[in-house]
Amino acid sequence: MDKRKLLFGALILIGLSFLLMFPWFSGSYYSHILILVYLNVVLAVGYRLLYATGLGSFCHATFYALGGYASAILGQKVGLPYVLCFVAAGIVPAIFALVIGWPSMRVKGPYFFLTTFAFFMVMDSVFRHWTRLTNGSRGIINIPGIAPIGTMRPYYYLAMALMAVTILVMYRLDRARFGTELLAIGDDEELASSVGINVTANRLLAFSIGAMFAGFAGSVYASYISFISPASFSLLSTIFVLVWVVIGGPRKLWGPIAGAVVMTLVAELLRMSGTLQAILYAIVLLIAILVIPRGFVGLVDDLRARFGKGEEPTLGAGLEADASGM
Amino acid sequence: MPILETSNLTKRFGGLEALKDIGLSIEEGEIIGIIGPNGAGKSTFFNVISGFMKPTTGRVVFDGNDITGKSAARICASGLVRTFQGTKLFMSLPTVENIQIACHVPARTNLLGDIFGTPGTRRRERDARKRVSDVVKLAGLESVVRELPKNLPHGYQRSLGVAIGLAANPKLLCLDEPVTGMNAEETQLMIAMIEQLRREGVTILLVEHSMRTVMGVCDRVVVLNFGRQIAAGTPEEIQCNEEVIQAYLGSSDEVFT
Amino acid sequence: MVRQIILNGFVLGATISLMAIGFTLIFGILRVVNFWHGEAYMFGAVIVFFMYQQAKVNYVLAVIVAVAAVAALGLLSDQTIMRRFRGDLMGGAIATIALYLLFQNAMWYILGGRPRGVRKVLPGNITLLNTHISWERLMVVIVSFVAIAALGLFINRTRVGKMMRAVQQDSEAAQIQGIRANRIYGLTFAIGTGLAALAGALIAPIYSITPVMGAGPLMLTFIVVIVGGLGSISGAFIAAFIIGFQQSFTAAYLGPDLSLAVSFGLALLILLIRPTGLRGQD
Repeated sequence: MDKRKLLFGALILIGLSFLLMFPWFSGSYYSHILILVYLNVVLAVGYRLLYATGLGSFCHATFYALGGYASAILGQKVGLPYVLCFVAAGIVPAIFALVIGWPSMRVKGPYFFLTTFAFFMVMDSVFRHWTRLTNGSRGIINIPGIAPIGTMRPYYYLAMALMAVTILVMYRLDRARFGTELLAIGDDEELASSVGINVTANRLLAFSIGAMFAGFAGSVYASYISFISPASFSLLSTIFVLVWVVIGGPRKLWGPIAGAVVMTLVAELLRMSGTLQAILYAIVLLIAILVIPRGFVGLVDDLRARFGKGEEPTLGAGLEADASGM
Repeated sequence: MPILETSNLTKRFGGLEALKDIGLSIEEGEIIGIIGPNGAGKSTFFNVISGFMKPTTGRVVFDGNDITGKSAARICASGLVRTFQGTKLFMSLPTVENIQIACHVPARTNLLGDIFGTPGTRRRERDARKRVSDVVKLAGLESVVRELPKNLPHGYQRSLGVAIGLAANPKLLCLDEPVTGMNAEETQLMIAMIEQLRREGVTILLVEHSMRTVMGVCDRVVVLNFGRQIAAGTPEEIQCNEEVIQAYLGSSDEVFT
Repeated sequence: MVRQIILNGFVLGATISLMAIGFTLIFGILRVVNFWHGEAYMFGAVIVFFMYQQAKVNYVLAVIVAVAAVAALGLLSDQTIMRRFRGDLMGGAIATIALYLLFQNAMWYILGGRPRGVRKVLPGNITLLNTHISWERLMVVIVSFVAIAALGLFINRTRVGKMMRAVQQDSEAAQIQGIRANRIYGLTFAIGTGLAALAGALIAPIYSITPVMGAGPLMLTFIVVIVGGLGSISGAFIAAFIIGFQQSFTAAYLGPDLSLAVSFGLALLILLIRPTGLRGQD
């Protein structure tokens, strides 16, 4: 058991060092891809929080956009230092999430989906037409950040750091009672209420936290590219986040991470096939959803069961030790 | 003071009167059974007192507090816990976590404390662990703690359902058809668990079809029919009650299974 | 001027009602949000383009073929793919999204971005209530109403229709009674997508045909179905006209872009205040 952990730990360290050194020995194209991967991971694990409770939103891209716009406007138009822009980028979408989440969580399943979709479309219109604030479809240029416009390396490390912190926070949340409550709600809302879990409060919290991290990612994105416009946050982007989480498997934290990494890379790989890119992506998606309906996580669980290892507890918070001691 | 008291409890669904003027009181430490033919309103009664439905009129007072119309989670926190018919479990959590999740300290959990692992969090976890292990032992689930519910035999799944309710630290535990669909052996185990619970000081309210179980284990029995309370008393009294016998003869339920 | 707007709204409402009814039928019975509904609409128009415009086939025949072909595609996709996602809302959504991406981009590949046109079937205008309406648009309205009426009869009067309603109410109970739910699902999907294709085929002579022509109608369909109530055909019908009129008025006074925003704003409002819409069930 210890040897496996040691090996695993060593692999992580090697991988980490590799990623840390990456911008020094590779071209800017690949570093750029990795930055996108890091940000997408942040989006995916944030989305997963609410999704694990059985509610899939359709406005995650809006939170990404709100963060990006908040950060861009405060930085470029108001001239605040980046740290403040970054923090604001997290707060603004979190508030929106609470405001839109509170009334729409009273209703079941597809209605939440549709409400967030309508919210997305309305906000998209706002971004396009409130030109005084957002410059409309022309977008905002020359967005400042932590480094001069056009530089990549600082943003590579910023994105990587954001991803690392996000994963760490999500990991702690997962192993805490909160994470188990979310899964319980996703399994059976009624049963969860009957044991005293406040379903709506948990969901609102999950929704806001996810929105907040999406906002942080948006801020990094906006400063990195130095330009944002409504086109940067299309319907397709929300669809992609949903795809990453479902393909990865929402039950465990590593699922959306794997989903985001794999599907982002797949999309980039397919880019080389030109016009066929989207068709191939769609086919890959279709095959994936048919073959592994519970995602990569489900696949691993099935393989584990097949080879008779029994289930690892999903979350533990340190209480397993006593359980196995009985 | 009775631990649970309902007065004039009524629930209407459109034109249908599922419960009419139900008034009963339960003393601490009792085991009360609610019986009645199908459609008598037993499930509705459960749903209303546990917060899954709001009554149309009437009051529910638990442990001295008016809980009428409160939410399920709040009512559970105050000590009235209900279980469900059949197997309603958290399918993606292993057995032990099904129980852990119900071990809810009424005080609000500290999210930041959870992230950073503060001493308060650690203490709560220690207390929770003790309770979990007590419940696991009582329900006889020691050997299957790490299994997923789908891998458990039926009897164990039902025990787990009750264990979940237990873990929520009830003063009054409401069991919804705990032995329906069980074989003789499983039923015996469940009855033994119920009696053990009484010894531990938990008041129990159960809804059941099986008259034999109810007669064997309950101190008092309340009979519902068409939403109304038609009789209440000891099992012996109920068995001889004309109205009760009529009610059951009129339905297709077996009376003395 | 106002009369023209009202008339336009009416025509738009009739067109959207076909799509919306098809969509809400699919949702009501299969519990699936069909993301490629807009592509079904587009396919209807494209097939008519190829058959009637390019191959000079009789228009009516072209429409029939378009509807049948798309319905067949709908049936096929349901029986092969959607079958795996019965009851799985999110999984089903991803499946229809994947199909949307597939169909949309396949059509880009085949058609390219250049808009195509179909020549008018019924030239000329007619004057109604002191305003002009082209015969073409009038035909769209008439055919839509006929189709909806036919659907209504089918659902309420035939045995199969009754089975559909039974499955919508409670699919488990329906299956116990011997209804082959799977077949009903397939049929429903076929009808739903067929209606969308009909809408596309009917407006082919009126609007320009591009691979992305389904996006706008899909958005409106979402809105209409939300306002009318998910799963309710009568709701979708009524809401289609409400939104049709709203679109017509706001487009005239605020421009087409904001018009859509207003519609979505309406939908959002309804969702927050009365989520089940006008006539929706849970």
